[in-house]
Amino acid sequence: MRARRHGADEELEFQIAPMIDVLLVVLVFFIMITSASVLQGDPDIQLPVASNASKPEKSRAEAVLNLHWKPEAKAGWVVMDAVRFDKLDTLTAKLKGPAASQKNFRVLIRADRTLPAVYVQRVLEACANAGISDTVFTALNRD
Amino acid sequence: MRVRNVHEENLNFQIAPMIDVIFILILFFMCSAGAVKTEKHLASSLPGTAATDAPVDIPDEQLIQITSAGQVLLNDREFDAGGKSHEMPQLLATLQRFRQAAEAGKTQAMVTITPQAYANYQRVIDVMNVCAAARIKNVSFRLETED
Repeated sequence: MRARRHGADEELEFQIAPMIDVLLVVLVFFIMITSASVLQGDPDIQLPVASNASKPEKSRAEAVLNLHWKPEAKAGWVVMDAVRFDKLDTLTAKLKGPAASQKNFRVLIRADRTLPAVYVQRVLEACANAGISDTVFTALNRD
Repeated sequence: MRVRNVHEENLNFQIAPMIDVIFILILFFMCSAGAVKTEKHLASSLPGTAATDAPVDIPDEQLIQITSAGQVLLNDREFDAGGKSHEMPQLLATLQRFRQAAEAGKTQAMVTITPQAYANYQRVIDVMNVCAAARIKNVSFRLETED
């Protein structure tokens, strides 16, 4: 340490490279947080609010069902993997394959908050007919 | 004063503006992170698919009805009447007592939700939210035929 004092030219330099490293890591962290809300969900669906819901469990095989409802026609439809299912029989047929082949397969239900319960029940019935009993409802943490 | 040559001048990287930009980006993302809405999950299971080889514990079951008008009935008694709020303190207190009683009796606390056909889905989620707050894990739906 004493040796440094002799070097008159040597100044206490501010190390810029580690600072930039840290800043970039912080930046990436915040970008990841904000982009986490961009999910595979349908933006047309306004999810209900449930403040006590638990954190999503990611590591499981699942199918995401987006439930839509048209009040005038009193008719609903389901969108799964960008495919629209107007009839729930076809949805049941589509779900039977992965439900049989994958262990602990579950269904994630993303339904609009204005939906009547009867349509959710019909979709649950379609899942039950496909042999799926594990269902998860998606909700937002805040309004 | 040291005279810089032209070659050295070209290689000079301006660090100060870069740090300015990074600071502004961090500030932007920090501010927007507070308002982020995240999707959370409420689990439920459908009745009728229990494994037959497992021993069956008979659960302590309560039935919650939700009417089309948004009334929440537990054992035909209305809870949190007229409340449009997502929070239902009366129902929460009752369900917490129910869970404690079930735990004391070493049975599983189970809630079955039976909404009327045109009950609002948000109300159904409100009831599931209260069940989650009361730490009741077995929440099921009764699948009824149309009214």
